[in-house]
Amino acid sequence: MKTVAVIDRFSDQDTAVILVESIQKEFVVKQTALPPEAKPHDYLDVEIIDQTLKIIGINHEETTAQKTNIKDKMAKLRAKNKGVSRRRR
Amino acid sequence: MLKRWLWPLVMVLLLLSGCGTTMDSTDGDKDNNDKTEEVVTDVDENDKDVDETTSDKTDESAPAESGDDEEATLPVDEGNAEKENTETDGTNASIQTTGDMLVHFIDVGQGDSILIETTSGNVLVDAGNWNGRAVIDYLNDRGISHIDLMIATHPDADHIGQMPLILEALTVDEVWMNGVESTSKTFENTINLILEKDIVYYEPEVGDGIDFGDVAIDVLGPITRTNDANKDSIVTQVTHGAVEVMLTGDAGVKEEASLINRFGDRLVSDILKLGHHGSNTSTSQAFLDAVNPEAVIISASENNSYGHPHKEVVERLVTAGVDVYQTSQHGDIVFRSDGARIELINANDYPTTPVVPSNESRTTTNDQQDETTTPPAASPVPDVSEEETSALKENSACVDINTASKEQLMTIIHIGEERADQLMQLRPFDSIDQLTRIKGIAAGRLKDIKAENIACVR
Repeated sequence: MKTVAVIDRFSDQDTAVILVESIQKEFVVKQTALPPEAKPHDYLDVEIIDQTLKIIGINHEETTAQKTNIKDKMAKLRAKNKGVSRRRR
Repeated sequence: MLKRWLWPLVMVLLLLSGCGTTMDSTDGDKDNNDKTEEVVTDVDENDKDVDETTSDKTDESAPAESGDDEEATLPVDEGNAEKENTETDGTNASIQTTGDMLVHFIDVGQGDSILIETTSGNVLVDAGNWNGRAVIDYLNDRGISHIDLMIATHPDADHIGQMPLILEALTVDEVWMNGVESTSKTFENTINLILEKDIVYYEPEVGDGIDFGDVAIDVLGPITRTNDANKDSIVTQVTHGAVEVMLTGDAGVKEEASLINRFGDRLVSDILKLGHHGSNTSTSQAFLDAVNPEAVIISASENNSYGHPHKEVVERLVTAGVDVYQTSQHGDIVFRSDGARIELINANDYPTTPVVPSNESRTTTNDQQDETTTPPAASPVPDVSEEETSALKENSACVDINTASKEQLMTIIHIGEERADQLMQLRPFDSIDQLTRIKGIAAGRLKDIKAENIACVR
């Protein structure tokens, strides 16, 4: 099955955590198994074969689209609630 | 009611004094009048006195080691006690429990989630891993339907994981995040819900804080922003009277160094949740020394893909002689604080000596992928029974706590340099049981010391 996955984070021991959120699966791979320019929060084209993950490459289109989408929403969030926190100062 | 018996008392006093000295009796009368008025009109004041007496009493029973913190936190405590009284207008029963704070380190597998329950609100710091339900189930089991403040230390999926589920099912007043933007659907679903439900959103800075009754949550980090999720973790210190709990998310050793430089002695806390699940990217010796905790929590799953907790961290913990609680062994770990001391009230019965995962095969798997939904078979954790250890070591040289050198003493579990010094000052000991005379050693650690069977009295 071909789908997209996101690099959620790089962790220690040179690992990368990849989420295939469409099927609720998480894979921990060595960073060396990723395309060399891949970074956390990038989207990948992947294929799941018999419960194993095959990385096809970075999905630049999805990466850019999702980054823009999140950026817009965060801007909305930050603008919306300014100054109403219960915080002390 | 008091007024009724005070008047006859005044009359008796007047008769006894025989009105000979008018000035005196008038003064007495005035005093009594004042007093009567005070008792009748100021019921709240009376309640407050009761409360203050109670807190004084608890403060006295505070462990000596927290004396410094106690001094620093008392004014805050008093102020809040007053506030609490006016707010709750409580009965005697509520006065008894007003001060209690519960801190739950929820067993979420590989991830973090800490619930802080106070009488004035619930705070959730992180929400477990994205593909689990442990946090939402735990909250439901406890009948918690409202979260006053939800802090996501950083947007990695093992920390914000179940935020969408919680935001959907519970009412949440306010969410704090560190501002790093993830691109996962889990993160997107989280911010969608904050927007949709019109929840207050805030990115806290060092110096920010929020109070829930007599529980204060102070933001100590991130000190500098790097846009790296882990490094920018929101660091909070939870203060309840003389009790402090330090939560650092996944902040690393560099961030720990900045915290030491910025806050120094203020970092001292009773409990430290180890940064980054016990990874060697966090918990430097310097930070452990600076926080000087009684107990630490490692929130990680057994046989996880990252080898948490790492060996060097575990060694540091053993040398420091702290109680180590691991969600992988102890399950959900719950502490209760009365503002003077914090005690463990729930955890699986398991030694507080740290367990290093046997992950040799894992670290050599290089390009192998590790699907965490199907973890490798768990290797049983060695739990040497007391009898076995006794049999093994009965005739070998034990460390006589009355005569051993400092270095020898430090080979005993939970005895670091500081406690070894104390032990030597407190000599002689009649039995191992008397080790509880040492500051920081109570029943739990004594049990470990006995189980280890190295210490003895000849």
